[in-house]
Amino acid sequence: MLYLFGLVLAAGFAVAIPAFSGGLGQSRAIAAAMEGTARQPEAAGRLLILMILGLAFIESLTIYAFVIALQLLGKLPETSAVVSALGGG
Amino acid sequence: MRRPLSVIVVAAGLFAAPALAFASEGEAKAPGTWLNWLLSVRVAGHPLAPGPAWLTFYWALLVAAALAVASYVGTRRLVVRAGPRQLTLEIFVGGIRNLLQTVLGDRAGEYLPFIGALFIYIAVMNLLGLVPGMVAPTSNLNTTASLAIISFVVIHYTGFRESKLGYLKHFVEGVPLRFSFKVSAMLTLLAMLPVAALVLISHLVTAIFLPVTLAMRLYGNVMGEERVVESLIEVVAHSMARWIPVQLPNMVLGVVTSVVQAVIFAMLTAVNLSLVLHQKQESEDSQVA
Repeated sequence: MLYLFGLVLAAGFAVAIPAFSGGLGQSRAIAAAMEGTARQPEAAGRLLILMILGLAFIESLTIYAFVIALQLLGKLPETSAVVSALGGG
Repeated sequence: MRRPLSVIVVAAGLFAAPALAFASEGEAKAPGTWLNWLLSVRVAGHPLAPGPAWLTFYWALLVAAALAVASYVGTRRLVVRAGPRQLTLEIFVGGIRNLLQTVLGDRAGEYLPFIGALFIYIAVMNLLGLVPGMVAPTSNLNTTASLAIISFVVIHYTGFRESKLGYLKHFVEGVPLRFSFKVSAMLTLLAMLPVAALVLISHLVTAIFLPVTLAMRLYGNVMGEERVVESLIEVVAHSMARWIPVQLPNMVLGVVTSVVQAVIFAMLTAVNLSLVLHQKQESEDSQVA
């Protein structure tokens, strides 16, 4: 039972913590791009491309954690099996 | 593109994809696609698709064949004053070439076929997942790992072709390893050996990590998009609201992320190629204004 508890807890935190820090990191990139666009509106196109590139790199770290969380969740048994193991209900 | 490079690319791809599909049989769910009938086809006693993962492999083959036919048909009878069909293709190729020139500089022309094909192939494969009845081949780690292996092989093959055996010195870059018959020089060399070993390990780890990150980024993004669409449909599927397409806003975002991920894959491969190529430095152009 502790094994299942650990699996679910780990899967939950595995998505939450990288999402939080990924959001922080991406917000800095977007803020810098917005400030650059405000200073020089004609550079908006180039800054947009660089911002998208940077965002995708930061997002990939969140995606790695998401993939691991999915693999953890794949190891959980079916709900019916858990219910019958706990003694029916 | 020089002929040995194209041979290497094709060989790496042909080897990598079926090898990886062998390695992962028995996955959970078979997506419902137009090629699902292949699951029950047997050739000389062996099934064509021993597992649902093979469906994405056949879709990838189909996309490659369709793109090859489309490119062949699209490039017949090229004229200087072009009609709309040829102009559209020229816009695509020119755009990719401009992007590549900011990375590779002079040598963009040599690697344009490889990087361009990589970009178009991955973009089409990602977008295929948004069409009902088709599945994105890149939603399977085997396809993305095969593409990453191709990039890895091309990058290191190019490194060896550029610098021959000097490419191995590239892995201990930054460490002054100079041999001369003076005692001080030999002592320095001895002291630098552990440093060189650490630098070598870190460069090797980076080199191995690159295809891993390429594969996982593409796989995670495309599979995540499919999972989200699937989950949204599942929310409304058993209720009265099942005719409302709640997954459409996510699919619109999916169009953007599909193309962006293809760009990221191609650009990362191009950037790593530029790191192993010797480029002529032009002092004025390399300054950032």
